Amino acid sequence: MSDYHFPYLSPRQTRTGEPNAWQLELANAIEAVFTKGAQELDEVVAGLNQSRVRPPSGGEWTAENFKAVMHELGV
Amino acid sequence: MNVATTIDRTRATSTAPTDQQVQAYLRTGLRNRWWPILPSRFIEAGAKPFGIMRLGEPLVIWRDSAGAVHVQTDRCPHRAVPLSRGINEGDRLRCNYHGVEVGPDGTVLKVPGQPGCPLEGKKAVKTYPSREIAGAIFTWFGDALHEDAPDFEPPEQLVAPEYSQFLCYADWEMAWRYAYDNLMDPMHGTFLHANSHTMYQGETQAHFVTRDTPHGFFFEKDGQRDVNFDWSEFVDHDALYVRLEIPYPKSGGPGGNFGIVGFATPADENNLAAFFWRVRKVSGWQRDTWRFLYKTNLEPRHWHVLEQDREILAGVKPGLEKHEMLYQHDAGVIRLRRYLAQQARKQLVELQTAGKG
Ligand code: FES
Ligand SMILES: [Fe+2]
Repeated sequence: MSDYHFPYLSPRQTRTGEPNAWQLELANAIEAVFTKGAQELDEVVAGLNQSRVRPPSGGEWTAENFKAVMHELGV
Repeated sequence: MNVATTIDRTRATSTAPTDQQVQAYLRTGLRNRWWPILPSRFIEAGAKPFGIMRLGEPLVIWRDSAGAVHVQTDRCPHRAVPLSRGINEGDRLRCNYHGVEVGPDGTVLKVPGQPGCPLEGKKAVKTYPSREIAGAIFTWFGDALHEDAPDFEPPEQLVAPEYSQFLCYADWEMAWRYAYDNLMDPMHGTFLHANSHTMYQGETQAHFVTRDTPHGFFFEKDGQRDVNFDWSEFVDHDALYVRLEIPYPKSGGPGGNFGIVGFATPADENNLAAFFWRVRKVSGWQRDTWRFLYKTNLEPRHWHVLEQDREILAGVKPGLEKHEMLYQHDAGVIRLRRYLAQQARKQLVELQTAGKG
């Protein structure tokens, strides 16, 4: 029996660990970019490049590294 | 309806189930349906058996060493103590009282205190047909005439690859039917959830219409779509569930509405197990991005909305209906209640006719 206690009222059920500070900043930056109206991949990438959040390897966000990072974190 | 006529009619057909009997039957759920009983992740392979109540029945759930889940009546065939207090031996349960061993099909495999005892080889523990879908254990609760489960065709939102989903599970201390009423009451979104990240838009007045589907019906706002919580679809297709959609704010990104597939499984008369699958029809980088945002930022916001529902309904017990004065917005609730009563009545009549009532 894992983490079950009645009544089970857990607001966090889908992630396995705490996100780190960079992941939280990235999530907030993506939401901000969406809020400004970005819909297409290139618009999201351009928006992120104007934010303070850098990709894990540093440098610029590209369609490729953005997709790869999301794929890793979004599973 | 006039009270005198109701009484007369019940007297005239004394063998037909009364409204009271129908309502009493429904208090622990409708039979002959698949119900989700617990998230899969709560039951680990080889771990201690776990005891819970569902539809008023005590169940023991355990996962064998090969990973298959088993759901059985939580009573030892010997002296009826809970098997969930026993031991998971990997391919069987061993009762902790006198060591009787029960297999995954309910057969008594061994009576260690008295080898050769007639209990050995007997199928003495009821075993419920069960399967795992989208992160939850689904179990068939058949009545005496329907112990064998028909195939279950799950809602496409839980199994089709074009959808991405997360399961949210909660124990709610309230009678199960009011959770379905709540799901079939879209107008509460505009008021109860006005202070939420999604449901602040749209008209505060609405006219609702119903629309039939092959397995249920839609209850929807006339002339407003994709603005707020504007419609609900009740489905009775091997299982009872409600589908609905709520548009995301811009911050939710591309990928369309946020969907919910909701089940409220009765635990007993006054408690339910809530299963809300949060779904989105989304693919590629949009899917991955939604999942990342959901896990980091969105999940607690959705949880906050669900807590508003739980808090307003907390503690409601069967019998609420006699104090209500319903209006047009409650037509979905009325129709749902009438439907469930019809289904329950049908089951009671069939059981009675077969002499199993
Ligand atoms: S009660 Fe289970 S072995 Fe006796
Ligand atoms: Fe709600």
